[in-house]
Parts: sequence; C-alpha cells; structure tokens
Amino acid sequence: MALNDMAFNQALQTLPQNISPTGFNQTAFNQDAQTGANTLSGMLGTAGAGSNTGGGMGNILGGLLNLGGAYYSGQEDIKGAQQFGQQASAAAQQLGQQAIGASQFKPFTVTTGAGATTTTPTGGFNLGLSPEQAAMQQQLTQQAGGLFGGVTGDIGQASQDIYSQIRALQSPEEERARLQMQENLFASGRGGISSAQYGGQGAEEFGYNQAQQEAMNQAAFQARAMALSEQEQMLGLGKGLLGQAYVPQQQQLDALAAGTNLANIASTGARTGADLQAQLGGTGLEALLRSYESGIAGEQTQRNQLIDLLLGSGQGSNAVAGLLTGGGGVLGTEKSGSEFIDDVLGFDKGKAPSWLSGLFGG
Amino acid sequence: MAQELRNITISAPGFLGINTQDSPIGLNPAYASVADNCVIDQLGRVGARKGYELLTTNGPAVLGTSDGICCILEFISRANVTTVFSAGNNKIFTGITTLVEVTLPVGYIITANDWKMISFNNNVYFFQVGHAPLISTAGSTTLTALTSSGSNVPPAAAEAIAGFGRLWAADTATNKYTVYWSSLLDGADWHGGSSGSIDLTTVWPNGYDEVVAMTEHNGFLLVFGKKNILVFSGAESPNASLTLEDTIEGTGCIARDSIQSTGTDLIFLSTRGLMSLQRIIQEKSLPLNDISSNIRTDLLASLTQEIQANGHRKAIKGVYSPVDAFYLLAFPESQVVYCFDVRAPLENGSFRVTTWSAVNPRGFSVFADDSLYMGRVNGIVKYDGYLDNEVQYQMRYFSNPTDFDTAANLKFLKKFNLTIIGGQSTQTTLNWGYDYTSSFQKQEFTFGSSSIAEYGLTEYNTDGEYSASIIIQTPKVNSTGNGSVVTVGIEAQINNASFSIQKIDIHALLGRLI
Repeated sequence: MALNDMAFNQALQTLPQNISPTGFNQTAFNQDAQTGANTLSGMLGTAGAGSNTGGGMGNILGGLLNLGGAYYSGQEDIKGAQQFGQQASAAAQQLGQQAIGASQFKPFTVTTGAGATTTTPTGGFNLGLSPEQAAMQQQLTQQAGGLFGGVTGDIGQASQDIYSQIRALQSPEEERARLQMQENLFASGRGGISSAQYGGQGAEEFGYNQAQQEAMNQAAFQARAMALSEQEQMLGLGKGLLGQAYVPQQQQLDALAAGTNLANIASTGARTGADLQAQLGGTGLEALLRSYESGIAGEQTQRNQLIDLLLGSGQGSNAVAGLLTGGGGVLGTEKSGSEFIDDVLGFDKGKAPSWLSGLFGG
Repeated sequence: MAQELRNITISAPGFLGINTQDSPIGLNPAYASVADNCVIDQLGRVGARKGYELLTTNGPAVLGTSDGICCILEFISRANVTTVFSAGNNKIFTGITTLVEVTLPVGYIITANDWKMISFNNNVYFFQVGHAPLISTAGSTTLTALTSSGSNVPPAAAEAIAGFGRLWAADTATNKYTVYWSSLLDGADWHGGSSGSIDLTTVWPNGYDEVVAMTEHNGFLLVFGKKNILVFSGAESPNASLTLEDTIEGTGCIARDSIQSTGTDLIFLSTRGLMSLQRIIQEKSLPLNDISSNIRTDLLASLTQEIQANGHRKAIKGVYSPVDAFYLLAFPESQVVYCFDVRAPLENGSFRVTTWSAVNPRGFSVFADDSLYMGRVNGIVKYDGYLDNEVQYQMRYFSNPTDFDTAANLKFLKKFNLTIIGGQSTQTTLNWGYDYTSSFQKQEFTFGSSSIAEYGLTEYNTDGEYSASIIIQTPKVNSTGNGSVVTVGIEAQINNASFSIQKIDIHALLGRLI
C-alpha cells in the first residue's frame, strides 16, 4: 500500500512560516543586525569622530538596546527552533505510524486441489485439506498406526506365528519322510529298535528326529529373524504411509510458500512505498534540521563578525581595530571594557557582568 | 526138484540209519527199523555207541533226587585256568569229580536248572528266566548278580548268547518278543553305551511269536521263534545297522538247547523235526527238508512227551560232537537220544540216524579236548568206553521187512552168516521174523572169549594176549520158518568192546508164489 503522501505534506506545511527551509530566518536576523549597527553608528558617529564622545554616549546606549533587541530576537529564533524540533518529532511519529499502517501484513489464502490454506493476521495459517485429502490422510494415518502397532507388538508371538507357518510348510515333507523312514524301518525289521546309543530309539529315528529338531531350531531362529525383519518392514512402511499421509499438507505448505512469494510481490510495493515515505519523511526532517543548524551556525557567524566589527580582531601585526576599540581602550576612552561598562552603566568597579564587559574586551 | 538156495546179502546193514517213514517194502535194506544204542562207525557200519564213565563221585550227595546235572560249561580263562560249571538240583557247581557249590549272592535263590551259561569276555554269565543274571568273573567260584541299577535292568531272560562283541538276551517272564543286547564288551550294561533292544512284534511274519532261541551263524544273528526264524544282518552294530535279512516262516525252534552249529550247518529242533538252517538259507526258495525226515513220526512222538512251557521244550538238549561226527538230541521224558550222523546227508537230505537208550542225559557239553560230557542224574559222565558206568548195555539192530525183491514168493531162511567186527564175550541174539511180526524167532550165541591184544601194555605174570587188535567174528546161525517178507535183527550186550555189524549173509530158499 502506498504511503499517505497527503498527511506527510500537511505535516510539513504546519512548520513555522518564518523558518526558512534551511531552518534560519535570515531576513529578520539581517534586519536586526542592521538596526543594531545603525544604532551604534548613530550613538557613536563615525569611527573617525572620536571627539564627539559625549554626544556619542547616547547613541551607545541606543546601540546597546538595539543589540539587546537583536539578542532577544535570537532567543526567539531558538525557541522557534525548539518548537520546530517538537513538531518535527511529532511528524516523524506520524510518519512512523503511517509506515506501520502501510506495511502491515494482509492475510491471504492459497487454494490448491488438495485444499485451501488461509493465513491469519497474526502470521499463522490454517491448512485446510479437501475432504478427499483429509479422508486419505486419515486412512493413511490409521494404516500407519496399525503398522506401528505391529512394530511394537509382541515379538514372541510374532515369532511363534511365523514359526507355526514355517512348521506348517515343513510338516508335510517331514511326515512323508517319517512315513518313508517307518516303511524302511519296518521293511528292514528295525522298527522296534530301541537303543541307549541313540536316545532310546533306532539310528534312523534318531537321525530323523535330529533332523526334525534341527529344522525346528532353524525355523525358530528364522522365525525370530523374520519377525524382527517384518517389524522393521512395518516400521518402514508405517513411516512411509505416515509420510504419505502428510504429503497433501506438505503440498499445501509448498503452495503456501509459493503463494507467500506472490503475496510478497504485492506487499513489497506497499512496504517499499511506506519505506520510501518514511525514508523521504525522515530525509525531509533531517534536511530541515540541518537547515536549522545551518541557520544557527550562520547567525553565530554573523554575530562573531559583528563583534569583530565592533571590537576588532586579530592580534599582533594582524590586529584590526574595531569600531569601538579604535584609539586606545573602549571607544577611545583608554579604559578597559569592564571599566568602560562600570563607568557607563554605573556599576561598582569590577561589578559589571562579565558578559557585558566582555562585549568591550573585558 | 530141489530148488536153488538164494543168497541174500545185507552189506553194512543199517548203514543208512533208521527209516521208519517210508514203506518197508522195497526199501533199501541198508535202512534199519531199529538201531538202538548204535552209531554209524568210521567205516560206515552200524556199531554200538560208546558207553559213559561216571566222573562225579559226590553226585548223590549234592544232587539228591533231582534230575541231576542239567547244564555243563567248560570255561577257560585268559589265564588258561579251566573251570567247569554245572547246574542241577537248583544249584550251581564247579568241578567234575567233586561238585562244589559256587557262592551265590546273599539271598539269591535258584528255583530251576534251565541255565544258559555263556562264556564272554573272560567272564561266565548265567541266564535263566525269573532269575537275575549272574556273573563269574574270570571263572571265580563266587558269583555276583547283575542287579538292576536305575534304568539298567539286565534281562532275566531264558535265552542269551554271546556274539558280535556283546551279549544278547530274550524271553523274559513278561516279555517274549524283545531282543536285548548289552553294551559292547560289557555284559553288565544293558542300558547305557551301545546297548539296545528290538521289538519283534512288527517283524514276525505270521503275527505274534515268541523268541525261543538265538544264535550267531554265518555272520547273521538268528532269532528263533517257535514258528518263525528271523535272520538279521548288521548285528555287529545293531543300533545303527541291524537289518532283517530274511524271514523264514513256518519253521521255528522249540528247544533252546537243541541249537548246535556243525560249522556248515546249524541244527535245531522245530515242530517239523530236526532242521538244518544252512540248507534253509541255501534253499530258501524251496520247500524245507528236515534232516530227521526218516524218523519224523517217531521224533515228533517223542517230542510230544516232553514237558513244555508255552511250546518251549526246555529239557530237550542237543550237542554236536565233531570228533564223533554226530549230533545228539536228547528227549529226557521219553528217555531216548537221537543220534544223527553228520558226515554226509542221505539222498533225501536227511542225516543217518540211530537212537540211544539207557543213557538219558540231562545235559551235554563238548570240552576243549573234544570229549563229550553229559549230565546225568548222578553227576557228570564222559562219553567213553563201552560200558555204561561199568554196566553192559544192549545194542539192537533190526532191519526193515524186506522181500528180497521177490515179493510174490515165500522165503525159507536157512542160514545166517554174520560178520561182526569187534565184540568180546558178547552175548548176541539173532532175531528173525516173517511177515511184519514183532515176535521174532531168536538164536542166542556168544562171540569168542579171546581177548583183544593189548600192545604196549605190560602185564607181568598174566597170560599173554596175542590175538589181533580187532576181532572179526563170523558166526553162522541156522534159521527156520518162512514168509513173504523177512525182518532180521541183532541184539548184542556190549561188554566193554566195540561191536559193528559188517555184513549179514542170508541163505534163503525161494518157495512157491503166494
């Protein structure tokens, strides 16, 4: 969504009209400075007319008043700058709010053949499978559950079941072999043999029983191994079925990811606009602050120039005499600034404010 | 017109033994109808058997009124010590001259004398039904019982043999269909080792039968039922390879002690007569020929008189004497002994047979020196000499009725010329009769009293005896009467000398046609 440019512009229009886009009222400052200079010039005459000292004293006071007025005007500018800062902060907050509103997530829905996935304003989403897919998932899940039940089933019972199946397969052949053995035994007259050497039976029966027992033992171990293998297979199948059960959801998630990318395209513009608006607003504010700082810096420069004009500047061979300090001492009175102020303003010696005496070089 | 005397010669009379089965008319005159106390001597003549010498001196004291010695076994140990075991009067003895009772296990009671004594692996085993088997270790006179220990129950069997490196036993009081075998070389182990048993109820071809006897012959284990014979091979390893090789139906053994091996034949008594198993094996696809066929009826008649238990005539004893080349079969109840000459069978497959009477042996045994010993009521006797315990005995020979190949003519016997080999002061009676009569006309005579020369014997102060070593007598006896068929007989009292009938020449006058 695009930023609210209108609101931004209105915020900018509410700034003080006497503040230049650079943040400084250059016109007022120049007027005040000119007025002060004229006052001092009126009070003091020209710089070369040092003899008109008495008449120039009144002008000096008028100049001082004008200077105070200029000082006051500067204080007003400072207040205006503070007000501007507060308004700029409010504008920035407003811009932030507007940016938040502009960049806020808008829920969307992704619909595929497997179902519809709906996102929530809080960032979540609901995977909605179609009834067919839900039924399939339930079926696969149940089947997987059944297989998992087999995995955790009684291995002994499973082994016994497999053993019984193996023995059922072996039994017919064993019975045939037994009958063949019995036929051979009785045909050869050995049917009734019982011997301690072969565990109370004949060698053939012993051999048969031994083979049978070996087959049974082998079947038992084989059944055990097969049961374990089947459990592993059931585990694998269960895992496979369970994974397949969640394939529609995974597909939904993949579709959601794809939808999210598409949604991002739509939201990126809004977020970019909001970002740009915020950036531009911030840049405007920053430029306004910088212009105000430049104004203040210019004012400081002009004041220093004025002081230099009045009081001179430089030292040594580079010293330049000011309007007020030319001919020795302040205003040619051969007095120091503090002494001058004390005399002019009637302060007790050394009691004039330093800042005031500083104006005349201390 | 005077008619010509016709000479009829009976050479080697009775040489073919007794024949009471065939019709006497036309029968070979070499057959005899009676040949009692006779044997076929080394020259093929009918001669008197030997007598017996009583060796036991304390017989009446130890045997009492019993039947006497019923079983005899000579045992020679590995140390070459000979011990003769005998049994009688419910006792077991050692010794011959003096019968000494063995030491039985404490409390062991003997109730019968039907022992089967077996020499096996330097020990003597004694088996009898209803009695725990006994063992004499290395011929010891102290017997110990093979008592049961756990599952090891030595069978108290009536029949036991040693063969194939182990003992075999069968016929207990409660089980007459199972053959047991001991462990290898251990007659005391009937449960462990390689011992075993076989139930024969599934083997008998004619259903149920009872084991009467067993023997080892020609590499086979033979199991004799009363009516069947089982031939087993693989007896050297019975548990693994005992296999029924052959089954002989209809012929069994009814007397355990009748079984004797002649080296080539195995002779045993069946309900059909005396049989030779070797022949049966050879001719197993042919009808059986019994070797007693010439006296079959007489033998079976004697058989019926014997006491039997479940068809088993325990008292009947048999023995084979290789030196004398005869097989004796004694019937105690009928007090007759059939003597079968085993040198060669006759044309009909039977053996020449004679009978013995007045001996009435209860047991036989041929010792290592090939002497024949017999158990009698008064002890152990030895078949030797020509007196029965210093008493004369009678030899009897009677021919079958003969018509001299002229059945239609009357015969007038005029004179007998006898040729007798041996004899010494032998009272002899010549018998003749006509037409199947048993009332014979008799003529008694005594052979010469000359004594047989005794070379090598020093008899000082006695009259010298210078005659030949073998006396040949040729008495001549005039006879009377007439008839169509003639029976001739000689009865001789054997008096400490051999007596053989070499020839009988009969001078007869053929009369008119009947």
